Amino acid sequence: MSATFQERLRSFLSQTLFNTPSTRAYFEPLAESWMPSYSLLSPKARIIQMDIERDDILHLYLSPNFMWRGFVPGQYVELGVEINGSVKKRIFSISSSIHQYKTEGLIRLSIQKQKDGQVTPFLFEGLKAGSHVQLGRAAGQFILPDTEKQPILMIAGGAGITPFLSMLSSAPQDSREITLLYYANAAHPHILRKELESLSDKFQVRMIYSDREGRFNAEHLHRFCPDFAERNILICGPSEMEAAARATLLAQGLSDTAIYSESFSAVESPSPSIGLVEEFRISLSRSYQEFKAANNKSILEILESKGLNPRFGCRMGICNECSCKKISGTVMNRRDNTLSHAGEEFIRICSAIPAGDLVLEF
Amino acid sequence: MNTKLPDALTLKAFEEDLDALKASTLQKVGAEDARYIKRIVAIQRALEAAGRLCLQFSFFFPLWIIGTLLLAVSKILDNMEIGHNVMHGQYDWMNHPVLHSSRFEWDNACAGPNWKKTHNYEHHTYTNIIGKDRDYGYDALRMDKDGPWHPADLINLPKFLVISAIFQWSVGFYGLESSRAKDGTIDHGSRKRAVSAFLQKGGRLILKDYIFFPILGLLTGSALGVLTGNLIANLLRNLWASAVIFCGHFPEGVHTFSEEDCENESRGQWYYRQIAGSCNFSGGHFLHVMSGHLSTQVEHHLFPDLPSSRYEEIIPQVQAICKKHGIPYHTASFAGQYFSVIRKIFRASFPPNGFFGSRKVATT
Repeated sequence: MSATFQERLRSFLSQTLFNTPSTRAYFEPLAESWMPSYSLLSPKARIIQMDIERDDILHLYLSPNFMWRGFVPGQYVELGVEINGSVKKRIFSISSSIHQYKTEGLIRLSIQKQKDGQVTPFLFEGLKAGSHVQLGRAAGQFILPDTEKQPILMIAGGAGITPFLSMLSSAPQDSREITLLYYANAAHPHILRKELESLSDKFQVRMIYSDREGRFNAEHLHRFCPDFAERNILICGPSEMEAAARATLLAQGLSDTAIYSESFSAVESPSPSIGLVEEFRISLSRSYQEFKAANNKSILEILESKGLNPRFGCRMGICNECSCKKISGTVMNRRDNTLSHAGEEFIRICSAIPAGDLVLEF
Repeated sequence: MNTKLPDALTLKAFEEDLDALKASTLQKVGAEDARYIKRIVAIQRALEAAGRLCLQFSFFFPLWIIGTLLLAVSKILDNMEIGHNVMHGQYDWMNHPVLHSSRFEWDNACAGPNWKKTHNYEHHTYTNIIGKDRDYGYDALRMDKDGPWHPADLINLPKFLVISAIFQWSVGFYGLESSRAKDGTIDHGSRKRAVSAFLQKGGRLILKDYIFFPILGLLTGSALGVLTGNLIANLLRNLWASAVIFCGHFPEGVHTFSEEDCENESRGQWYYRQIAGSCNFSGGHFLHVMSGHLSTQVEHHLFPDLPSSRYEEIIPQVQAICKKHGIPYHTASFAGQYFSVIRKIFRASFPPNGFFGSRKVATT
């Protein structure tokens, strides 16, 4: 109780004396101007080293400052960079071991370049060793299940190998039995191969070329991991791959509760078709609603037609009253027919129409 | 003054020129603009800290003067260049944790959400439409010497001076839309929210400037100095803000519009109304910053969400576009505009046809 009272008092004082939700927020612009390596509001990290593998994978070695709280292998972090004055954030899994963080204070993010993306191409060219980036707290539930000694089957696709690398390299010597099936193709071969090979004396590591041996299927499952029924299964990869793998496993009689998964989609490359009336899925994160809506109406009109009451003003894209946070998805601005990027940003819903599936903070 | 619209063809070409100017200017917006606003905010924070610190030692009189002036400048920067522009969403693209319109709150009695509704939406959408833009006279002053007259209008000018001296409270009170509550054109819930936001915000301001910091001043024996310093700093900010704001739309010669003028208006018509209904005042960069770039009122009204750091550079282009299409563009010196506003308010004190309805008031 006393903590809540203290928090409320602190918030009351900072709002009264500084007009900001916290005292730190008031002084943040001073810190930003005079101490670029430091932020009062979020942890920052210094870039120690940058390695590029096969042209489209960047291994970013970061040294987080004291505000960062560490991680559990398998978790991801939000990386924030300033691109031409604008802060952009994207989420990446940590691919390094917990030992490296504990002994050297370093973490590694392994980042795949998204062609036409707004952020990842910048990371390859715009960053350099010695500069600073924002680093959110580690988060995510995709970690080794807490079932001691129960054997594990890991299925990775493409850049989905990153959380597994962290889990495997962090696992102690006498740990449980783990089999990893890692799918890639000739055009985008397996990354960090050497590191994975060095782990193969402790774990069963299979690197599979899906263009030669086929994608993950029941036959692979029986061949590479005959005792799969006793295992917990972890899947990480592109969303289609994750869905297909899950379906295969369920068809083999595995229970849903034994499967843990994380997937990603190329959020940065919007490919909406304009001119056609199309339906997209709209999810509202605060009001827990989800529905389909056509792209011939503004998002404001769509929300109103669902009986919701979003704030609005001029309804012509000028006054900013209807500004709403888009968590993900692409929208088109009706005023100038431009497409947004697919990441988090504020949009004016009176002049935006959906151009893809959307998640709004509403 | 009412006015005739240019023909449709001119308006279309005019609209395209302005759209192109906006697009090419937005292209340039980036790191430079982010640096600019962050620097202004850092300066404001430093000035406020220095001002309040000086006032804590204001038993030494020169520190009272310095402290009061520093605090006044910091309050002006906070309200004008930072608050007004950030709350317009001009810097939302930075995705900054503090400088975003959805979170920013300023050192002013008008609570941010109330301001965003009456200013960003009503004033900027219905600029100078008599009856719809309540900013035209702020529900309190008679600005139109030909409109309906009431004996209370005789004190139009003294009323203006009082409104200016307590400007932040005037704006805060205005944000409550009392005239609408009276005639029932506002719903009960939103009125209640506005009133509670105003009371909360106003209460906090009083607590800060007139209770908390003066009590802190007791430690250094400067309580009275802190209290009076804060009072004067608020007064200076109020007078300056009101002078700047009245110069934006009320000098003589600025156009007003009727509701019928604006039915189904095109973007070109809308641009025209913004230009004809606003006026700039000239001056150096310092004056532009201290006025929150309301000195570039015309450019601001055309593109209210363009970062303020870009208004000065587009003045010549907007003027050239206006000249090309024969659109009136108002600009004068600050002193000239202010004098013109005072004269207009004074003239509007009297009934249109003299006190006995027989004499025609001379028009210029």
